[in-house]
Amino acid sequence: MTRRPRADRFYARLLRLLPFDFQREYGADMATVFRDERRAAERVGGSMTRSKLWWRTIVGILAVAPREHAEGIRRDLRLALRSCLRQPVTAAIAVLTLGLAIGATTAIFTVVYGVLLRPFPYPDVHRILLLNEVNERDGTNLSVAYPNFRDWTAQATSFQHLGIYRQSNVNLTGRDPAERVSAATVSAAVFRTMGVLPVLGRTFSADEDRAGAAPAVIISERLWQGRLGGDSAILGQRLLLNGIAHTIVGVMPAAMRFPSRLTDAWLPFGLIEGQLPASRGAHPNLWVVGRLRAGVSVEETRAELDAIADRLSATHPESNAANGIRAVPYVEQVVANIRPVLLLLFAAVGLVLVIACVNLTSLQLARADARRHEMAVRASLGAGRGRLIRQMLLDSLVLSIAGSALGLGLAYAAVRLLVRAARPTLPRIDQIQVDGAVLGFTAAVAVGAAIAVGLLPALRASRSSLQAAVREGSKGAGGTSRPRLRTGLVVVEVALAMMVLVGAGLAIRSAQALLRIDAGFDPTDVISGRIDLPASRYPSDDAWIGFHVELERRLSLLPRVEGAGLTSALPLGGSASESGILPEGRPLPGPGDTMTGATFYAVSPSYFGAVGTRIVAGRTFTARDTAGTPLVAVVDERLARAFWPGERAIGRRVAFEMEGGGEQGPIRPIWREVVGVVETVRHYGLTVESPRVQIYTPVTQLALWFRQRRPSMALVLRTSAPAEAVMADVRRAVADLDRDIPVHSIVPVRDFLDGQTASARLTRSLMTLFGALALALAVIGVYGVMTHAVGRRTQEFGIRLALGASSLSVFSLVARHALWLLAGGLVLGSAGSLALVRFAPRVFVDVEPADPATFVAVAAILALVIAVASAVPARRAVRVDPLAALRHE
Amino acid sequence: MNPLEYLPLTPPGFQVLLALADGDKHGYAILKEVETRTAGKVRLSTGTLYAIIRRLVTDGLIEEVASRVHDDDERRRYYRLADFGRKVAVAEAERMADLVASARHKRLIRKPRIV
Repeated sequence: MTRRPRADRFYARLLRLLPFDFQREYGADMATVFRDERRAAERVGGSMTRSKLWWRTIVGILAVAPREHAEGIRRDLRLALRSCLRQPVTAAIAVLTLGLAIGATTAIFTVVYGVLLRPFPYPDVHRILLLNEVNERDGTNLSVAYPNFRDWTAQATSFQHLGIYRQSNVNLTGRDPAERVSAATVSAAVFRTMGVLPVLGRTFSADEDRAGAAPAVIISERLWQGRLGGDSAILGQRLLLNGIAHTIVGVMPAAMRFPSRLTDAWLPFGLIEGQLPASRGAHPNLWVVGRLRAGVSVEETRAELDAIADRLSATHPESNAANGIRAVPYVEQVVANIRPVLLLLFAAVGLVLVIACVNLTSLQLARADARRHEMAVRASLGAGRGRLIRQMLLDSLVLSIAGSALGLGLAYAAVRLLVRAARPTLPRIDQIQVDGAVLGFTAAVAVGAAIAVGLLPALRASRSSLQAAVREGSKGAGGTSRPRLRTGLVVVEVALAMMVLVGAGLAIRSAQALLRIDAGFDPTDVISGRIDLPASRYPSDDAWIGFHVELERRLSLLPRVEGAGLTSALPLGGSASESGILPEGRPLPGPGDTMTGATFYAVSPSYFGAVGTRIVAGRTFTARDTAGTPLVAVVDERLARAFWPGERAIGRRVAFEMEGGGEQGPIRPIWREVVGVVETVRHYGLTVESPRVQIYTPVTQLALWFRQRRPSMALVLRTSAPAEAVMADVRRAVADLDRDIPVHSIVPVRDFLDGQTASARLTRSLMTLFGALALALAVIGVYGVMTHAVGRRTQEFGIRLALGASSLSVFSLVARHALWLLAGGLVLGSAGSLALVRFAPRVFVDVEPADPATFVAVAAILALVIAVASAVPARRAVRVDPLAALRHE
Repeated sequence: MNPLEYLPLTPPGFQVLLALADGDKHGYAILKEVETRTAGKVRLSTGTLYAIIRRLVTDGLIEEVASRVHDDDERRRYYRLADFGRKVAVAEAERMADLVASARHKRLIRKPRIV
């Protein structure tokens, strides 16, 4: 046969753009027609004629091909839809299964995307670092001593900007009602570091960093649009903050959520610069944020900061000997705690999705077996293999698109529930929303699931097509299908379910452990609120103390209030004042000596009763402990045990402050007599066991530290009445004393506790839900494959029974199959779980990741469930009627 | 089946029906007939032609006739205008005639062209 001319070969290649069945139907004819046209053109001659022919031909094919392909896909989709509708129950189960799995996956992805992946509103956010000092002996974080910050600024070359700030709250008055505003005192570099420009006005200048700066304020867009009514002439107006008029110089956009997303007012650093302690030993709640120069890595920066810290330790050993500098990327700091939890949930939900897909694959395999005959007939009628594969894939695509639509609806509802449940614990929660990125993810999952579910059955169905199936005739249904593949799939499914269940078990155990922790107080029926007396209104200690003493008296008299007290730091509040502490009788420490660390508090006499902290020995404070009587203290059990093990603590003396020094004579400890011992309270967090002992002083005998830096005091009220009703009375009581003092941050103390366990409880609920889903899917899978296997062996069982085998022996055959599923699943699942729980310690508290109890319980649940799922098919196997089974042959 | 459901036909589709109106033809003959009849104004490409043929066969407007041996001994597929296709073509022609009559009535065209 002679070679065709090049033009004809090119045309043949062009034809391949057309759908396969189109080519087969008309390809040869088209080639002939083209050849005739070409020859005619050549006869007429002229390159013009020939180019016109080529142009027309190529454009024609290019125009027709996509239309024909689309037409084919439309046809196959119709077929797929019809084949789904022929088995509505199967299709509904498939869609429901996928819908649940895709819904859960999408919901968790939405959270993961919003919290971990959505870009921050700051340019080059990875260059922003948070810095603070750290006590390298016990690893605790310290705020930054101002002289140290000045040295960092002078010496560090890694930073483009280095800003310092302190978060505080201010009373906004002069516009009724008085309100508490979340504020931050910031140096000019803070705005430059974050890289956010004001929507109105300006940010601070470097001049405003220095003492003597005029009282200015930059407000948030929220405060401007809300409380201040969006007045366009807001710049230059004055705000009364803590009783002092501040000029509004700028408005920050909502994107500026630093230091906190609640910050509504930024004040120039110069307002506090002059009052900061000159000592490097004082850590006055200042924190540092810096922007790295382009191209400088975090590691390089840490090395430089370590060197600076070493130099400062050498030059200022009395204060800096043990202090290092901690630098953490801002993004890390924001999401570090939540990331492992979210990733665990995402992994679990991903496994559920995989289980759902495996289930559907198994289902489609069964359908493919049932359709082998149909496929074979279609193949013999000339449908290409690609066409058959496409048909099967479209089948599963139809299922997965329906499932995704359902899933998206579920996810939308679930995200709203999740956000509500997670509000107290999740950072960046306002960034969580179902949007384009989420839709894209779901679409990708849908297509991925369709391919995952459809490909294996499609390949098998199309491969085995012709000879086998036709020969087999219409007996078809699963006749020659190897159940091994489906059994394998179910083993995988059981293993994956085990992994999810182990995660769920650990989450349950961890939440239980967390809820069992005794935080040292009784949160039931306790409400708290905060008040701050500005120093400008209460300059003297007497006035300040007098206000609080009188307030406690009035609060105690309120109706429905069973107890009322005041404290400088609430349990679980996360903050406290720290110092070293010394029992009487031990030598004073020299420079460089370490002292026992302590946290100290100012509380009112009724505080312990109101908050429900047990008094273990001695007494609480009384009205007789006044400024004129000997100084007293209440200590916690650990302090008593640490200093006087096995002995009575009452009557001993301790000191956590010194006085004197310099011109005031020698340094003397300020001794306080221990009058009571209370149980240890967790102040820093439910799971944080602070190494520091605790000491309480009466409000009437203010510690030196508190006299210099008046604490914001918290009110604690024990009442079974609703919070709103009681707080109205409380507000009135405070306003009667001073109408410019707002009561703010009103929360049931229960909420503190719940806030600390919320993440664990949410993780527990979600993991339990995913575990249940995984288990349910696995059961469906097991039931399906067992039923299939028994169906296949009906004749065999019939023959065995006819030959005299006992029902028990037939039963044991089925049971053996089920056992294999279980054993395989458990072995694989245990291995998978052990691999997975390596990441668990960062998520789970107080639980061994390889917790044997959890593993055993999960294995037992799986065994039980597989037994139940196999029972029905096994019963059917035992009841096979030998005659009927043989007749079938 | 109602022929009106298939109206309007695409211009190339109608051309193919016209080409088959006076006898069975194979693909190349259809192309040539259309080209000659329209004095080269309408030239179908092979791709367009066979997409139309597939459509018309599916819809039952034309049908394949048993293949005959062509002059050069090659097997070619011949198509014939089905009875139903003829009805559709007639309906399309009448639809167009009505349109032309309207255009004439509105004096868009002056008088019938005499061929």
